[in-house]
Amino acid sequence: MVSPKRLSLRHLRIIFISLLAVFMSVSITACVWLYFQAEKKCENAAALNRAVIEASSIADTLKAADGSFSRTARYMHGHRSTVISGNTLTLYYDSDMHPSSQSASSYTAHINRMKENGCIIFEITISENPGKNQIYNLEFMIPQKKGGS
Amino acid sequence: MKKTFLPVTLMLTLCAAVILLILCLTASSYTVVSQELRDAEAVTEYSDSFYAAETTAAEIISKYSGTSGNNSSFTSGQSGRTTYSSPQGNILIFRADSSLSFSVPVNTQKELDVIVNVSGSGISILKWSLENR
Amino acid sequence: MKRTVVIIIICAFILFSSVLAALCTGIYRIDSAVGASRELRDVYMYFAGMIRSCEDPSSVRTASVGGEIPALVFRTGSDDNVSETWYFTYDGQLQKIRTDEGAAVSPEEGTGIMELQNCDFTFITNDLLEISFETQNGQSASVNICLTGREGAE
Repeated sequence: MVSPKRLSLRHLRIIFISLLAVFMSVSITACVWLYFQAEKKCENAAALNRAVIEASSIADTLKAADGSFSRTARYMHGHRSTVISGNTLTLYYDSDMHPSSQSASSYTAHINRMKENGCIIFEITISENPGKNQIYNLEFMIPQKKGGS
Repeated sequence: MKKTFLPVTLMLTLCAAVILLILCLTASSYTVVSQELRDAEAVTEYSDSFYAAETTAAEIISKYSGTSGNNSSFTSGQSGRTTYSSPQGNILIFRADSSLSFSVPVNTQKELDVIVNVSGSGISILKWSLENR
Repeated sequence: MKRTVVIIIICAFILFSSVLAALCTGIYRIDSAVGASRELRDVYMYFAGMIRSCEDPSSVRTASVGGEIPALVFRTGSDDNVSETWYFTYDGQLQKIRTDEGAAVSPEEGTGIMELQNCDFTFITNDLLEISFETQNGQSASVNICLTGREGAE
């Protein structure tokens, strides 16, 4: 005959181990979820930082070039593969936001130009390839001084 | 059962403690990354505000220099002073001979101070800098 | 039976350890990436803020410390009281020295501002400054900043 005291102690042991197992499962699940969320946010933050820096750099270059795309492409360091089509300039970047060729690009910068009321309006869009997921968009205006190309 | 229970329990408890530690580290890392994303978004906002201020400055210069041919945004004020309605609020523009000076707010702490000289030969920028408000 | 239980426990422990090791490695990698990204942004914001706040962009020029270390120089003051502020990288840090115009500049006398591996300054045009820098984390960038209103040859 089993004593009641030994029986309840056995039950307590089983309950304790069960609780421990549940706690460990929940914790590991939470760890894994937090880790993947953190990784995704880290990538987003890094891409956003890089995009803002690059868009500002492009904007300042456009200002110094008086809105000329050909001069802008020349002044942008390291860019050999640029596409100028009418009022659009496209620059290509690798995964570290360094200049790259079109085929090896991870990011693209599209610059659209419009003329309005004596000013030139630019829209710079940094997006991720493929899928054209937009990371950052910047619009600004400069006074029109001379004719640009 | 009694002999194996204690070591097994101790091992499981140790594993649980390690998992708890890793959970704390992961949560801390998540918090740091979330803050970093917020900081990046704040920089984005500042960049947008800065270029928006430059855009307003460009509009003012263009309208005053007459290249746009449209003065409808100007409201007459006192002699030598004009106000310009912009997304940053009413901008007070001081005119003296051929020079034009104004400040466009960027955010609560900074403003873009501009002084330009408008003449027949074109626009000459005398000052274009960020100052504390 | 006892051997099977022991083997199962050992396998579970190895699996458990692997998962934890992978998580720890991942956490370290994320923290490093965050630090690197933040460093890059801070360097750019510092230079952009400094240059955009410069009242007289014509007073900005490039130079070199000891003929070797690239530097960016801001000239302030007028007439008899002209001083220069030099920015350059030395000993893994962005350094700043304020000195009288024309005085010799020694890299050891600089005040450290932030960690920065190296930095180069080039005027592409009269009013467009290119800053190429590399952070301590190995991240590199080349940015252009416009000095609106700057006149004169570089």
